[in-house]
Amino acid sequence: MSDTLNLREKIKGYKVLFVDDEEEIRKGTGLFLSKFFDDVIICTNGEEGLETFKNTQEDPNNKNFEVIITDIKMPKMDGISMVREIKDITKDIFVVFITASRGSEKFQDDLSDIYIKKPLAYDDIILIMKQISELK
Amino acid sequence: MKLKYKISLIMTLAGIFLLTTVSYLYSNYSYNNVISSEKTKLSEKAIDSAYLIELELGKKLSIVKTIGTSPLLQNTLTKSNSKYEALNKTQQKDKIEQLNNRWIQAKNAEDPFIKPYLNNPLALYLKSQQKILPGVYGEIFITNTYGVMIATTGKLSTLAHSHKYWWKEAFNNGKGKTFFDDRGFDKSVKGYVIGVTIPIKKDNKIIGILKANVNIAESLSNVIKHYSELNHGDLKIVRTKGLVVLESHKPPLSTKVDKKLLRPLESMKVDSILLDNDIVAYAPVLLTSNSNGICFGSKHSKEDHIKGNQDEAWHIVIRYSKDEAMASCKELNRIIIYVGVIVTLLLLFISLLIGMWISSPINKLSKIAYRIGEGEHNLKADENGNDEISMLSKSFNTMLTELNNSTISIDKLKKEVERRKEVERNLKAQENILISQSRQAAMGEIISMIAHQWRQPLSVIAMGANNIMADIELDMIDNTTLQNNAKEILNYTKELSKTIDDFKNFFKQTEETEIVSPKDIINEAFDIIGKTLEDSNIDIITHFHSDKKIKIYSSELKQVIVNIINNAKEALICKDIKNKKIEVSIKDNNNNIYIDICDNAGGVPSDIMDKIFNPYFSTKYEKSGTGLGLYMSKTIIEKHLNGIIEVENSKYGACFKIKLPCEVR
Repeated sequence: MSDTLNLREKIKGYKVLFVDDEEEIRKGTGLFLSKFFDDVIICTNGEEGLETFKNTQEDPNNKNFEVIITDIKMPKMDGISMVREIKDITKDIFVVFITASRGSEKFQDDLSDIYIKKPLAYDDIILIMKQISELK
Repeated sequence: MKLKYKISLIMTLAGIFLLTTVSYLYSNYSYNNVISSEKTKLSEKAIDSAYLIELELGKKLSIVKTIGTSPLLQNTLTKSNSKYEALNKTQQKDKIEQLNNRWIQAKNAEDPFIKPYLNNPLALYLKSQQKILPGVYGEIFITNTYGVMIATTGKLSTLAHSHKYWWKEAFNNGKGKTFFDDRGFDKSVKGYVIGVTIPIKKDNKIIGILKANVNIAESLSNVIKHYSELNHGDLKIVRTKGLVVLESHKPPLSTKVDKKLLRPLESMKVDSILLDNDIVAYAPVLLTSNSNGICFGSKHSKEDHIKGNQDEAWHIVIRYSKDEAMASCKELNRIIIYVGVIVTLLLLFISLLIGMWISSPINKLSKIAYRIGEGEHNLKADENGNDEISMLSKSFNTMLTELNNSTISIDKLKKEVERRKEVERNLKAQENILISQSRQAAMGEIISMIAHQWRQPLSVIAMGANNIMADIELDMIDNTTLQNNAKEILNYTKELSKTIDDFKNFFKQTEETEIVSPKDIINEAFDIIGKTLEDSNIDIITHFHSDKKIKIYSSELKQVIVNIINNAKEALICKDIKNKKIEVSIKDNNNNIYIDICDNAGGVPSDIMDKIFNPYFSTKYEKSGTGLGLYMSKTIIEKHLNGIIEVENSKYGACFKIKLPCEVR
């Protein structure tokens, strides 16, 4: 069995919230994430992501999100604001920021576990997957 | 004609005129002078000669009178008269007739009847007197108071004389007077004979008549000879009616004077006239003018007395050729003309020199003027002297200086114009350089724009590839998914390619104008900058009210629009405006297109309002600004596209208003 398959086995149980405002990105990235994770919830902006997170948190029947992968620059609510709100609710969450490569955004070390640059490189994604696999 | 020749011609003409006038006046003056003085002189000579003739006649008369005073003569006459006194008139007449007949019958002087008359004491006395002046006196004879001849020096034709005119004249009815019988030319003596007849008186009573025929030819010709020896002209002794008594080289009484002289002669005056080409002076011989008790003349013309006097007087007529009178004067005139000609030639030469002297400065001046005309601007005319020509030279030099100055200033002006043209060309070139530089300066922003533009497609492409990789590694690969992923990658690479084209076009320098719609240009601008705006959450609002096409350098206009929109974006981001907006509108009116680009970033601060189009002016908002963007935009719109760009503040923010002609010239 290949490493990748092993990795998927380790991480497929994690519940993932993916937030991006761009449809094409959502489509491609969402498809990719769903190959590794069984439960991927996709939101279009920070506000929607926060709402979804809160709803999940409050619903006892629903499993809590363990990983948040989010774009930073988004309409209505950017990724950083969303994560800050979420962290207020719980610290027990793995956050991945996808950044536009301009470096205009400040790294929020206290908020995120990892930053990844657009466009997403396969090896970088695998590296993130590996970090997630080591969470437990 | 050259000036020097003109001057010498004028002077020569003046000289000739002067000379002609002087010689004409002189000859006129001298002519009148010579003629009048000659006339006076000739008149005086005529008087002199008339006087000489009078003297001659008087001399003859006085000799005859002397003879008449002889006592022998007186006594003899008294005796003879007494023989007749006793007789009565008839007896007297008979006796005289008898004696006369006897006398006529006697053939020669040896006749006994005649002989006593020729040889008596009185006759001998008369003969002795006759001999004193041989050749002068012809017969001398005496009649008694009855006209009977009593003594004679030669045989006479008759004895009785009382009936004869000369006797009657001298007897004068007993009163007695001297009578000159102008008998004319006497062939017998080949001379001019005057019969001098005088009455012999005793106790105031005529006792006899004495007659002496006097040949005065020699005396007269002496007068003529004397005259011609000492004087010029032709002297004649003339009777009142024109017959010439005596003249040189011609027989007496053979010619007549000009008829025109008759009237002057009749006037018995002394005068002179001009006749034909001669000066004629005339003077009467007073003794012959029947005055002072002396009678002159003759009434008869006989065979031996050719052309007798007809109560005429004698005149002296001197005729002198005017030409001869003028001869000396003419000689002088000729000298004057010779001298005049020489003087004129001299004058010609001198005037030529003077002409050269006068014209030489003018010549110099004209040569200098010519050379200046040929381009030798630094020449000067000679200003020496203080005459009109040097004054002319001075003003000429002044003119020259001014001309030089103006030429210099024209040269300067030309150079200045050239310099400015050069500057303008440089400026134009510099502007072109600046335009391209500003485009390059915008490169950073452009790259950022490209990054924005490419970010999404690159992400999509990357994710497509990621998915394929994942499918492979997860053993999930199937052809359909693979194909879909590949298609998506290809689609997005096309988008990347389009972006490249957009930017390539943006950087492309268009040399030619294109006919485009401003709407298309703005859309193309948004193709470039749109993603950036989108990423910055800036809303674009467009109002395209015109679809009119314009002829324009399209890439330049696009550059301006991108630049203005980019400035607006920067301002909106820096001021952190909520609901960021940029509005772009297009309108057209009267062949002009109006493009307005407005933002809601609060507007341009009033203190920098009039500086924003200056080069190298940058606001704090433009982090990456070169300060050239708006300057270049203004340059492009106004200099290249012949339009106008202005900025004003609206209620919400800055508004850039562009006005463009539909066709760039």
